[in-house]
Amino acid sequence: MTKIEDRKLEELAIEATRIGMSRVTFMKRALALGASVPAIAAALDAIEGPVAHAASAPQVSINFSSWGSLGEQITVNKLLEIFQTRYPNISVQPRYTDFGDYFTKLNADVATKSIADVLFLTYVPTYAAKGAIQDIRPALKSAGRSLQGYTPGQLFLFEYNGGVFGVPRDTDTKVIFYNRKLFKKAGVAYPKDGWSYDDLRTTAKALTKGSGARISQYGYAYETDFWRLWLWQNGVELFDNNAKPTKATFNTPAAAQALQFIADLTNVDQVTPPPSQMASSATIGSLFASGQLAMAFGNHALVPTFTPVKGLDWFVVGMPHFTGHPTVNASGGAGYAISKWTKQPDAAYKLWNFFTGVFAIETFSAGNDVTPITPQVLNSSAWLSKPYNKVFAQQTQYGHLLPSFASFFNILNTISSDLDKVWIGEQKAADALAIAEKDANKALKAGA
Amino acid sequence: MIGSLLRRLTRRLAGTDSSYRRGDGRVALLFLLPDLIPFLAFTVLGVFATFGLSFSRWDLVTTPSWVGLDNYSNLFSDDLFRKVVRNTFVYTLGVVPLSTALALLAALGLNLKLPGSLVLRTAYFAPYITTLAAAALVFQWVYDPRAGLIDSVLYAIGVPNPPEWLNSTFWALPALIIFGIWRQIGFNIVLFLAGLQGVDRNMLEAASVDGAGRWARFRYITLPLISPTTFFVVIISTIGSFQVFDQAYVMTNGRFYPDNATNTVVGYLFQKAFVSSTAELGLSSAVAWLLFLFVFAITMIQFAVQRRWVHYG
Repeated sequence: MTKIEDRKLEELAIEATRIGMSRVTFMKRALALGASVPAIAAALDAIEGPVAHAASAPQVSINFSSWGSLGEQITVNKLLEIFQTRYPNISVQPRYTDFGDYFTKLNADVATKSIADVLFLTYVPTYAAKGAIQDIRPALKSAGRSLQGYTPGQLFLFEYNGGVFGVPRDTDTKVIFYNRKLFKKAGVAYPKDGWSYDDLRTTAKALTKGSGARISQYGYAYETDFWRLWLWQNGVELFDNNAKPTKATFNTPAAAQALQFIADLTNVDQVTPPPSQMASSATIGSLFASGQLAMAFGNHALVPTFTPVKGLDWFVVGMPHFTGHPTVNASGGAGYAISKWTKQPDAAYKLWNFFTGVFAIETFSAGNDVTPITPQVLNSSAWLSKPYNKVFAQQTQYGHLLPSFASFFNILNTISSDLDKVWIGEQKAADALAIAEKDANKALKAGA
Repeated sequence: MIGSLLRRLTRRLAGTDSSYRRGDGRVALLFLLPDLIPFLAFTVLGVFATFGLSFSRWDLVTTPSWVGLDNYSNLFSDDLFRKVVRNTFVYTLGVVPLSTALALLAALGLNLKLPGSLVLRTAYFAPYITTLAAAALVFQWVYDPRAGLIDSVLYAIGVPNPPEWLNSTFWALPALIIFGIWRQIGFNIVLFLAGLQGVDRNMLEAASVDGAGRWARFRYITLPLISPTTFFVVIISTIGSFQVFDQAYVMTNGRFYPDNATNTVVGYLFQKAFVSSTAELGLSSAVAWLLFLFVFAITMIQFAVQRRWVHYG
């Protein structure tokens, strides 16, 4: 098949998932496009999973663990229902845990080797190093599936010691949500793509309302734990190597300048909520949804929070840039892995294959929960039909590679804690970065 | 003494204790077994296992390796551990005396049985039965320095720079202490009310006839007579305060910000065991044993000192 025909088949597959096309109609239309039988079979597998097993197949039971909003859980349940109609002999028990507790529970499950057979996961090298998840390449080879379609950057977060331990579902692309009603009320022009942090500061000042130290409407809110993004945006890398770091490289004047600028929005300009209200995307989302916040930093997970709010007129704009630097965004999201201790490897692979297929990714995207990583979904007319998704799609091109090594999660937490005093205005960014660099290097040396 | 107790227990279990009918012990044991077996398997065994683990390095996955006293010595050289110990002490010193004194004061008022005291009793007790996570989340908003309830009131009455609460390394721990007092006070009031209702009215009336004033009656009659209750309240509050964790965890989204100002010994233990991707179970076990030994020692001291001020007669 040519590339154009391939693309047409993908579009047909997406259309089939959206309008519930019958297998016969799908095959007829795919053949008319000139698609080969194996290509049609592969597309069908991606849409609905391979044909159901014979009724005589032995009954097996597996677990699936995930975090996510209520909307995301509903999507997962819907997908599991579809999966089980395709594989009536595989019973799947979902385990949902809030993101804040997911890894705590996962660590305890690792101890008893009782993690779910298929799991939604991030910080993959940490769990690959523990021997908890399996290199998916042998299973892919047996099933005749390849990793084509994923860029090396997308797979990087799932690699460890030369192996590939999963594939991503989405990308953590950030945007700035803005409340159009509050902008209109304040007579402030909507932010435009390519805007700078100086523009953001001016806009946030104009949108902050209150008297004295009492604030009734905040101009902007950011997640304090996303400090790494502001370093990247000002041309700073965290480590000398993203996969096998030997030292931290973030203690620079440019890093201090970037962090100080953001912290000053809180402590000097007072255009943001206090840091205690910006520790999670959920609290920022609540402020924005209740009309107390004009601009909110966040990813696609906030969309289902805002969409049902009556009277909330919102849109999104891409990330601002620091003057003299290009636009940089976050990238890399969570994906799916298979337990190394699964007692049902075939069933686990089938579920993993289903959740990483176009149909599942498209369903998640239709549920508005994620920015999909699969290009055929990201660039599909269905996804782009929502105007704000065009901004998310466009911002994915600026994604910056996230370091990925076994102790990254711990080091990230240590640095975040070291920077606490910067956000509350008790320490200069330059001083905090010096402490953080020392702690990070100590942790790198210890391999902790 | 322990030998004697064991002999009595054996006699009872064997049914040879004259105060019990033959076979009572075995029947009692049978009734206890459904709870006793899981208790021994999942609690007692676990507790002893942590003692062994405290001398080893274990990441939950690989086989534990013996490290001797390394975990204990590492703890004493860890700045963060010293900080969480200090925080836990300050928290205990803040919560225990204040929640005890305020509860006693409120109980004395409620014991007067004035109109509306039933409503007040309910109001005082409500925080104790409110789900901790929900209450801590509400307090996260209450402590907002720019739009929160407390600072709005302080600002309205003319305090120009009210505390930044959870956004200040100085005020974060007091914020936690206030929450702890608010939550603990209701339980303590119930205990004190029970204690006050046991005070013999005849003694109070006799003292009154002898010319004792309100303060003298409280100081020399009521306070000594409720001293066993006070002792119980202090013991329970002290043990609970040394174990404080959940409210700080919820209020700070599990981060114990700012800069670990709200982190406690149990928070540190939890982070090392379950949050750290390297899962330092040996170190956490050492923390648990140090905490146990310390709380045990404090409790023993309180028991030793109570002879001087607690009156059971």
